[in-house]
Amino acid sequence: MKVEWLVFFYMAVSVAMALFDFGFLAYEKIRDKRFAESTARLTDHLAREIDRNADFPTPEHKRTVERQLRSVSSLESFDLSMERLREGDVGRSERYLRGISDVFDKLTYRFLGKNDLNRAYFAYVVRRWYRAEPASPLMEEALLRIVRESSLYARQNALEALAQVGGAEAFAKAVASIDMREDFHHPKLVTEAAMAFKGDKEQLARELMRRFDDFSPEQQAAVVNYLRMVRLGEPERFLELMQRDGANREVRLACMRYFMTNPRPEAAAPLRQFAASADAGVWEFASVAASVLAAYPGAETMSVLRDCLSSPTYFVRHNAAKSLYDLGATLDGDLADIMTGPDRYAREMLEFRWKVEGERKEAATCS
Amino acid sequence: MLLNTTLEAASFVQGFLYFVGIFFVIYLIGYSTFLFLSVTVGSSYLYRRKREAHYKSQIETDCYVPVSIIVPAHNESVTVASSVRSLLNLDYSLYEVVVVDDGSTDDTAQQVIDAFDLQRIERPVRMQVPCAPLKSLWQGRADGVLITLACKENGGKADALNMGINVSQYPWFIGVDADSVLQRDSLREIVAPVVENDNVVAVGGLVRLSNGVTLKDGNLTRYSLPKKIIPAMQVLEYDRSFLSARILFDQFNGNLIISGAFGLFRKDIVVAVGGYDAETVGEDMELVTKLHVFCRTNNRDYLIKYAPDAICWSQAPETLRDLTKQRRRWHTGLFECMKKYARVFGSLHYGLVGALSYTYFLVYELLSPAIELFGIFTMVIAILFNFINVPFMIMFFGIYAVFGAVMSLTAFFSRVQTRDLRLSATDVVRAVMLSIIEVTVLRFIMAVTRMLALVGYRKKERRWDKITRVEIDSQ
Repeated sequence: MKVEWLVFFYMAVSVAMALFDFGFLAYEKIRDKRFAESTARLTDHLAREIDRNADFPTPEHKRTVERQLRSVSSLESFDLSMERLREGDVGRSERYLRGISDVFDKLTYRFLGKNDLNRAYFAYVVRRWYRAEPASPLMEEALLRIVRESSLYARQNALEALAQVGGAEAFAKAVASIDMREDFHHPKLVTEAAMAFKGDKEQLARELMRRFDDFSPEQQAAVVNYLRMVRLGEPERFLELMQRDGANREVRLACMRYFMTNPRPEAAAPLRQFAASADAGVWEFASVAASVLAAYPGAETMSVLRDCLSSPTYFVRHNAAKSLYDLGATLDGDLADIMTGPDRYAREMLEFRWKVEGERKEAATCS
Repeated sequence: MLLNTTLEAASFVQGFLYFVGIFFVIYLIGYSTFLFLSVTVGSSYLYRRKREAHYKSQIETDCYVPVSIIVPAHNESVTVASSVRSLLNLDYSLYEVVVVDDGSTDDTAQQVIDAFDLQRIERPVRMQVPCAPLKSLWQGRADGVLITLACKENGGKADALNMGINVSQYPWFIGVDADSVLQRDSLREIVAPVVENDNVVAVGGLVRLSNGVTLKDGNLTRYSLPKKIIPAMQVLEYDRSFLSARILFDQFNGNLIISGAFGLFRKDIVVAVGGYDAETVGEDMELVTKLHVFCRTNNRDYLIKYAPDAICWSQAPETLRDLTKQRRRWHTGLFECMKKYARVFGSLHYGLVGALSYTYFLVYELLSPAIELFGIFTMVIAILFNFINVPFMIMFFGIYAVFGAVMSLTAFFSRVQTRDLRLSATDVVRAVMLSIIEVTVLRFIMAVTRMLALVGYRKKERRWDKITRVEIDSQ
């Protein structure tokens, strides 16, 4: 190859890239201008209908809106327009949105056939503006399909939309669908979406527990975490799971934490056993148990936590000191022997914890 | 006889130049291809991410990952308090700030203690990675964020970061330079890859130059190219060489560097590899390369990600003297790291990290100053022996310079457009002109500087960068 060709190639690439830079800049400017114009037109159109027929939008209007919302940019226009109109009159806008719910149902056919970006945005708009109660089976099925078939972002948006507009069964089905997929979906995202669930929480808890054994350990931990926060679920089952040696470690730890927010007398003894365990291989159980025991006052608990202060594991000592503080132990009374004893690690941990908690209390009083 | 000797010498030079010519054609094709790929892949990635974020294809992470921000500081009394203050209003729920004063001889520690009303504490510290002894520990809260100051004996930046790891409480930590400011949403952005993947061990953020910009509450309020030429050229260089190249390497999990100014790491893995190496000046690259080696040696499924939306504002050297000092230090660090992990080169066990990333850093970063200066030397010989077509050579270099400049500008404009920044017409003109100067003049100066770093290499050189600091224009 002649070296001149190389030079010409560089030249061509340079020119092409420069053209791209400026061409794209121009394209973006034109696109932004057109978008602003179309959004203004849509806002105007919706405002007129809300003024005239907020309670019963006409079939003709709904057909027009359905035709107009067939792309992501038009959905974005709708999102911005409704945001603006809702600020003006919440009541009328809400009634109008209820009236056009079937428009969203019809749009599902169009958006399910599109790529992940379109599906993700459609699910986002549904979460914000779909008002049918209960959601139509068509909408629930469409969102479930997005959960089953799409990328992480679309999946999460659809899950959040189901939490907002769907029923308990549909949401539990979505959690199961996510669990069946091979690609990673952070369990905390599932917990967070569940926390946003607007429907009957007790029914959701029942649905999740019904499927509990079919979930993967990661999803089980996510479900237990959710149930811990909403104070629902089946404590007997969690207690058994917590003590089952063969069960997954994260699930067992989640069950232990469950009994901190939802204390049960029958959980106290096993938790004390975990905290007292000297096995270095299970220090995480001892560490979490030392923390959870703050919810179980009593002489036996105090005694176990005092022993935990001499644990070889830093985190066990750390959590035990905090629990002792929370349980109202005193350095010069209940813990005097440790403070004058030979265990420097235990002493330092107690001194540190009392100082930190004292400062925190002082700061809270000042504020 | 003399004629024969002259002819033989000329023939030798001609043969030598022929092979040199072939070498440089291959070298330049390699570099241009890399530059072209990194800029096109980088730009298209940025545009795609912008579109995805615009249409809500992103995870809104918040408190899923608790993070400790470690700020190592040595004689940073001018900037340390404002830097720590800028870390208190981040858009993130669960984080703490750990400042490590590495035996400063000025009042760095006192500045932090006074500014945030810290109290001395006797907290037990788990020494998980080796570092110089702790002298005192201070703690307090500001705006609900826990601030810990660890004062230790001098041991260098890597040593200070190790102390930060020991003192920190959370399972993930971020190393931030004391002269840097994190953008308000930077923690959410840098944590996003951790929530999106289950095997991430480290994430690099994007370091952008704060010269010439104004920040308010961690948000950018005014953007322009720096007034001074040296930092302005570095803006272009950062976009081309760091932003685009790192996005390209990220496509195959091949990033060997996470900037020391802003990177997120999983603490248990960093502890497992022994923390930062206090014996190198390029501790950031050393750690990332070590993580690759550790994970691959142990057949561990892992990802080292790059998050260009996670932005940290850092000061660029404003004088040529400071810039050469900084680059000399970077190149020394690169040399130490490449030498330490030479076994990675071409090894099948290390996959594309060994085949592409290491080779790129070896040929186009570490050896490039020597190769480029050798090229100039052979050009002079060729001119002396009249073996070169000078007009063609000038045209070649001219086009090559334009090529490099256009690549820089493409990377620069992609970044400007995808972050919705507004540039004045003057800045656009300045960017075009500076891009040419950067690829010709500055690049040559940097080649000489980096060459001198190799020639004058001394093990255990000073461990802290000393460039003139000013307070960042942030409120």
